[in-house]
Amino acid sequence: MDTTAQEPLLRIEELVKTFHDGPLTVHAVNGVSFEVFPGEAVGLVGESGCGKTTAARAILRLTDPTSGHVYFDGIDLTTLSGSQLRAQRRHLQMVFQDADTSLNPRFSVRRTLAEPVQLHRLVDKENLQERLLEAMSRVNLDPVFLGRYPHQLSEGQRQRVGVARAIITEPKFVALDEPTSSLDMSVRIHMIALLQRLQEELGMTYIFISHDLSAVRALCNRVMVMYLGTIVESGPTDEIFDRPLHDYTRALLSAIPIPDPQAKRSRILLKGEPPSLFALPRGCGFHERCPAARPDCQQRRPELRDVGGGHLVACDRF
Amino acid sequence: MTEREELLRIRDLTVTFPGRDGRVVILDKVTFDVSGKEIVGLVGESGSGKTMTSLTVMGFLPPAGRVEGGEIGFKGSDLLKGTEAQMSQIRGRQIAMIFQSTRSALNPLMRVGDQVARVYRIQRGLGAGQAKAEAVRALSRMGIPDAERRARAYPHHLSRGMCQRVLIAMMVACEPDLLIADEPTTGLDVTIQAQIFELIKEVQQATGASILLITHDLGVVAETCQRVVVMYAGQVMETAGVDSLFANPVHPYTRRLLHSVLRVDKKADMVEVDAGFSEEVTYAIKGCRFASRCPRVLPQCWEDHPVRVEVELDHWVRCHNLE
Amino acid sequence: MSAPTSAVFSPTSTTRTMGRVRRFSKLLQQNRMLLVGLLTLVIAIIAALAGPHFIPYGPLETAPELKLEAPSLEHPMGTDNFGRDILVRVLHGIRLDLRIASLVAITALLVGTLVGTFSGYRGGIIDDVVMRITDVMQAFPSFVLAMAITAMLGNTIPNVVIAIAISYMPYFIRLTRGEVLTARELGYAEAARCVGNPEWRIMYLHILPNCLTPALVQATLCLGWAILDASGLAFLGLGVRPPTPEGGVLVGEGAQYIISGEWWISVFPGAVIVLLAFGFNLIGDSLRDITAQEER
Repeated sequence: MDTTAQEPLLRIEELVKTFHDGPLTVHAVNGVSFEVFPGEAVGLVGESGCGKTTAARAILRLTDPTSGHVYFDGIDLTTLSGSQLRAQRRHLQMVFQDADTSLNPRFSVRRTLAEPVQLHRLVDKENLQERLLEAMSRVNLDPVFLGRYPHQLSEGQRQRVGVARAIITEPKFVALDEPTSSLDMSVRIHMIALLQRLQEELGMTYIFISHDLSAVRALCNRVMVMYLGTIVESGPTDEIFDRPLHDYTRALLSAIPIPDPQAKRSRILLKGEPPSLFALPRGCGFHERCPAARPDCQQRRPELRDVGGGHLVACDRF
Repeated sequence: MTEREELLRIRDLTVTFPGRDGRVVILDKVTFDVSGKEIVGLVGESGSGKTMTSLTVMGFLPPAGRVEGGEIGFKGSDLLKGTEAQMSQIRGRQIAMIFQSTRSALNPLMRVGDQVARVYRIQRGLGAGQAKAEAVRALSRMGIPDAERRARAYPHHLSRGMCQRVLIAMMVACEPDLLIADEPTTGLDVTIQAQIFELIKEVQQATGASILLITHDLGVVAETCQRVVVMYAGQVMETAGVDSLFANPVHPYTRRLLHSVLRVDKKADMVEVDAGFSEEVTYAIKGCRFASRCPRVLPQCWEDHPVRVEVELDHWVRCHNLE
Repeated sequence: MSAPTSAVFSPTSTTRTMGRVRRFSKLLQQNRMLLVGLLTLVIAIIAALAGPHFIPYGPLETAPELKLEAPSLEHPMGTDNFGRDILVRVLHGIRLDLRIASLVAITALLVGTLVGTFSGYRGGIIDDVVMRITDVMQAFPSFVLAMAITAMLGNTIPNVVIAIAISYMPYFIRLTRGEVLTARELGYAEAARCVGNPEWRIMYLHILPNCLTPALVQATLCLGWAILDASGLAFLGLGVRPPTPEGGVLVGEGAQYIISGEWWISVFPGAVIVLLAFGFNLIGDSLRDITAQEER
């Protein structure tokens, strides 16, 4: 994908988000910067506590960043007022992780889908039904479901309503938060096929947040790995999966069970557990568990460095 | 049948629950074995009956459930015919189980060290001091660093991965012949999950127990299990050795499952799925429950539940339309 | 090929209505309290609306020659010291009491839920201030508070309605706020924001409808309390005043005659007040049980 000549659709600059829980401070996101170009599908991966979901919510300003800037189509979202931000939301949508709770139980599917269209006054009354039907067919849902309520739908159907709601305003950017994580095997594969098809048909720009790495590999053309609130590695999908450089990425990928008894495995087992977000380690966040740690690693936090071909690593070894 | 020492022998187990229009058959003639010193994976999606099977083996069937037929042979005797008193002797001592929701399986008001020690006192008859020391040793063997200090912690102080290790320690303390692990790593991070499965494999090697591992993750099955049982909607569709299952899946459901699995180590193509997929599960009253979704369905499939057929050595399938 | 029994079927509107009727009658069967409460009320309402048509006397019609007559066939509840038929006055009293009670409940419900939603959703200082105000209000017994407010505003029926409604508002505010505190953390509130809803829509169109159940149950209970409060105030001379027939007024009119033996002037109105309040309480309590069970 030729990204050199284009302006990024989304540019994140030193995003920081901290939460205060009484006297304690949770450092959820600690200085994240990246760009997303139009048409890209970027995967944001990491384990629990790495800050990927918080980062996504801060980007969409569902929570306000503590500091940093989010430039969407050139506009700094962090400086917008309420109504200006709401106007932008037409193009900044999200598919939520838990379809059970992200759909209003008292709203029929029709009402849930019609609302974004009506809020942004995208079509007039005559064409609303057409818009609804189009969205339903894109996610393979029979129009009869428009009259149903969330508790009458299955898990996969609810998830698809969530996707329909996100795409019905024809947004420029969609964030998907763990859309496959709560799904059964068969349902999951249909969701992935659906997302692949939508990507091709609609050409939207995606961020796909997930700990389901095999889904990420199938859906994204670029991957960013997060650990303890920072990006430790990023690059083209195949590059990251086949030639991971950061020790955390390597351990993470090696930990994933491969559904093939004959496949070769070399498992890298990390020591211990991730440190608490209340007290971040000094220097490189990973040094306590890293098999290749050196005394220097405690001193400084390494910067993301380009090692060629768009592959960036945050480790002093490179 | 090979010369394997049979530990658990489930034959035609049928369990029903009350439903809106009469009783619903939740487990339909479930049949499979677990032999000595092996790890068997019980695979299926939600609603397949895998948890219900293990609960029935442990005698934890909810009051509304009824066993309508079949036998559960454990070391020669039928568990279904035993009394509750006999069952409670076996439970914990010879068959142990760990569940998905780790934190709620531990007593929130008791230190974890004490909980492990309690198992040693009750199941192995050790004295209080001895049990405590043994508990600390067990926690340390399970990979909990600083075990002496951690033993004094309460469950909510520990991460979920640690809690799972505590539960495994408690289970191992019983020295059971059969361990049932029901989705022991759901909700755990991948790196922690890898650690837990390594631990389970070590435990199995060290104690010589057998493990019935319930999971929906085919990757886990491929890496950890020697034999696999595939369930769908309360029926066992296929059982085989793990190599045999992955190399040569016979049942249409198994094939669909394996086809739907994505890998991290291979470049991904566009996924192909059957159009007309419907999530609504319709149960045929008699016959094969996969009939409504099966690409190879025959009229017979709605009528009779297929018989178990051995298609190759130790590889059993229930299907009318074997190619 | 034999047709499989399906776990899902598509209902028509007739089957849906039949289903609802069946579920409602099953509900009544299992909840005797609800049944009794509803019956009591339905009978009272029918009597109050239709009854006066069958009675040849008006509620304000005096007949001095018939004064202080004991209950008889012509006057099933007797007459008072002006010769007025007590039964017809009681029936009119029921009408008025129900009107007052409904107005009170609706006002308290509306204002209370709106304020409670705002307070719970915004949190922060606004929430603190609202909570302290409700604390102060709840420090007074609601009857006393209603008395004070009536005295402040002036002794008219509308003011009594306002006064009693104000004294109930804290309950609605607290109940709704509690539900909103939970609901605002749920996914759909965030999704509503993500889709572009302004705050007021999120509060009142998304969250409030999902938090109404406890408030609605409380409203039915308030109907019962309101009857007692309104009657009590009227007995004391606040709000409804004689000769307007109302439960409390009627009891007040007959108070001095109890000692002299003309018990029927107070007792019948009093019994009716109790019956109405009891009916509403039964309904409210059983609704609370039912909704609590469903949540489980």
